[in-house]
Amino acid sequence: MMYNKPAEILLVDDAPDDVEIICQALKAQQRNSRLHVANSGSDALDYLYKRGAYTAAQRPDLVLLNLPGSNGRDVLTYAKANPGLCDIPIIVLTGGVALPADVIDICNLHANCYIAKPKDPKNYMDMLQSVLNFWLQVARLPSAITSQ
Amino acid sequence: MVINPCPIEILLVEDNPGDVELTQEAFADSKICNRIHSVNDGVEAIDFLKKRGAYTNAVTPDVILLDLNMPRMDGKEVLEIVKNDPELRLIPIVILTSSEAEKDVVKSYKLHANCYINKPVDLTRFLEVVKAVEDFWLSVVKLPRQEEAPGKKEKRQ
Repeated sequence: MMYNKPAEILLVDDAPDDVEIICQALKAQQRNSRLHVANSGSDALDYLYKRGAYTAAQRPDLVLLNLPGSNGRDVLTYAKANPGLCDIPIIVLTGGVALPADVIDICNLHANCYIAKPKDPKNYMDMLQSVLNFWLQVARLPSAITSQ
Repeated sequence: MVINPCPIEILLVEDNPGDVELTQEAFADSKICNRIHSVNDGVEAIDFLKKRGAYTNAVTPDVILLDLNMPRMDGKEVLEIVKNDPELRLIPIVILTSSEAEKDVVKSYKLHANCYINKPVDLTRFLEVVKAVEDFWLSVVKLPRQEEAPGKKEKRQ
């Protein structure tokens, strides 16, 4: 599928090492993208709601949510409850053990998918490439113009 | 790669017999153990999911591949019913449609489709896309039904 415009991706992640790995994974993608990073749940919500420092923020085409605990959960809850934002695909990435109750909870909140991050760095990079290949090359992402 | 317990049950909701056959063939070649159940429209899909009519013994699928433009009940209606049903809403729904209309893309995501994919007309590309769906949803994603307590899942036949 050919795209003219770069994909706008919001990465919600408080770990600099993770951000770096995801940047590398994006660079290897065929489709151009612009990565915006929010380091906290409140930052991410400010970005999505275009408030505070983010009044000129671009609406993301895709959100990678890599924030553990209630902060990440709040981003998902508020975004998916908002009619102007709920169509943006949110991919939840989680490290550590993915407890069944957590998977079910996150899916009940309408996360588009739940991905458990492998511990091994090579496997993690392979997984990231699979995720990005799928969402940037195969899946159709909703257009900001039609959605608003 | 995630190891999801075997077989992964897939419900294919598709009214085009040619596309049904191609999709079934593509998944049959998969290295991941799966079983495809195929229905021809939205009414049959809901009967299957609610285990009624001809489908009283149907399994609950782990993932649904859903066409949009179908007779009797279209994909958007199925999507709305499933995602509003507490017993069914966890099931990921992959829209697999020939519709390229942006309004269909946005509406589907707003109704909580898990993803939206255009079916290519070209056969080779169609099979590549189906393979990509299989690779991602069957071995990268953690499927919520696979995580449910054993008492909630039907005994797999």
